Amino acid sequence: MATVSDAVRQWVETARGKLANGGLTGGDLDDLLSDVEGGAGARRQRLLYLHAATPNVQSQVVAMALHEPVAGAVEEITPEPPEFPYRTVKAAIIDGWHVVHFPDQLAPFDDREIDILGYEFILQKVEEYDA
Amino acid sequence: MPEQDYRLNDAEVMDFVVKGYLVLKPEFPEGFNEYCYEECARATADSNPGDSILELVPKLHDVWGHPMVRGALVSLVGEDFQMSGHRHCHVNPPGTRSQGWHQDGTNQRHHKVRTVLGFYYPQDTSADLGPTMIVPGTHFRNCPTDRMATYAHFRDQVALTCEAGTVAITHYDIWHGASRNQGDRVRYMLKFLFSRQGDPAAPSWRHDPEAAAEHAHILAARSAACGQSDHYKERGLRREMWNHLLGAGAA
Repeated sequence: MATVSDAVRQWVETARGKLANGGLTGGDLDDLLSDVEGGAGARRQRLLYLHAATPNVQSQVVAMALHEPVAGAVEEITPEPPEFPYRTVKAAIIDGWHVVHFPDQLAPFDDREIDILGYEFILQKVEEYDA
Repeated sequence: MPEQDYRLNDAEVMDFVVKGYLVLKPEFPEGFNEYCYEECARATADSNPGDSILELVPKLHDVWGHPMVRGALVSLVGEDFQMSGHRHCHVNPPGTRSQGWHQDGTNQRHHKVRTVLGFYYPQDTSADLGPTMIVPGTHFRNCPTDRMATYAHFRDQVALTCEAGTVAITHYDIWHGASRNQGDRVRYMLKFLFSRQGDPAAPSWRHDPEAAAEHAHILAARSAACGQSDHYKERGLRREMWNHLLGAGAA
């Protein structure tokens, strides 16, 4: 899965080397245009579910699921110890994710029973994809 | 020489109360696990026999009759516990996707140890062979499975990777699910249910009040990460469960 941003970043990295050697050509610029135009209309929504210990965006994330907008990409239980990309919801926001669903603080209160684990935030990041 | 007493001690029972599971490594005769593996393969070759797996593979009685396994079951569900007529051979072939997180049954739950699940693994179960996943402490959480559908990874999830012959005993309500099998052979897991026949009148494990007092801090330990309110409530529920096991509710 490569986003347009990834492709442009890669192009710039290559171009820097070519600039230093004087090898940058018109064809390279055509490649850049192709990378950008090829992604037009392919903006897709990435979804990140973060379950935080409390409704506070600064509380610890205790569970997560990341759904990539790519056919065949499946988020499922994995036996490896999970590597969480963000310790808190706030850290995800700083990295450019937008919260599209906040947990309801007005859930029925019960001072004995417990049910779901964590408070669910749903975040999105819209990015352009070239594949 | 007196027979070894395999019942659990206070710390082990408290640990079960907190985490909702324990893992046993009984020793079986050479070739036993391999035999069970092959018999499970034969029994499920055409279709899954469901509850009839025990009739098709009667050797499985030896798993639950092993003194170490029986000692743990007696400790948790009483001397007169009964094996349920419902059981299942879970078949996880290579290439399958994971299950979703779930609790067994419906959500008429309680906070007692009335039924436990016994998982027997007849093969070495490495991380790539689709081990059972559990989330410690979730046996206190009454959550319809549909509401777990957006979960994938828990910070404190545990993979029951194990050697052939391992038996895990869990509270009936623990959140669990099979992970994907990325290996090259089928992973079998035999799930059996065991239930107590009445409320405990006295501890059925190697209870020692002094040892219990010494280990009481276990009941206050953190299990799966959660907020402070939930943690206070789960500590109360643990205490209820422990007191029930002690026989505190007996007439």
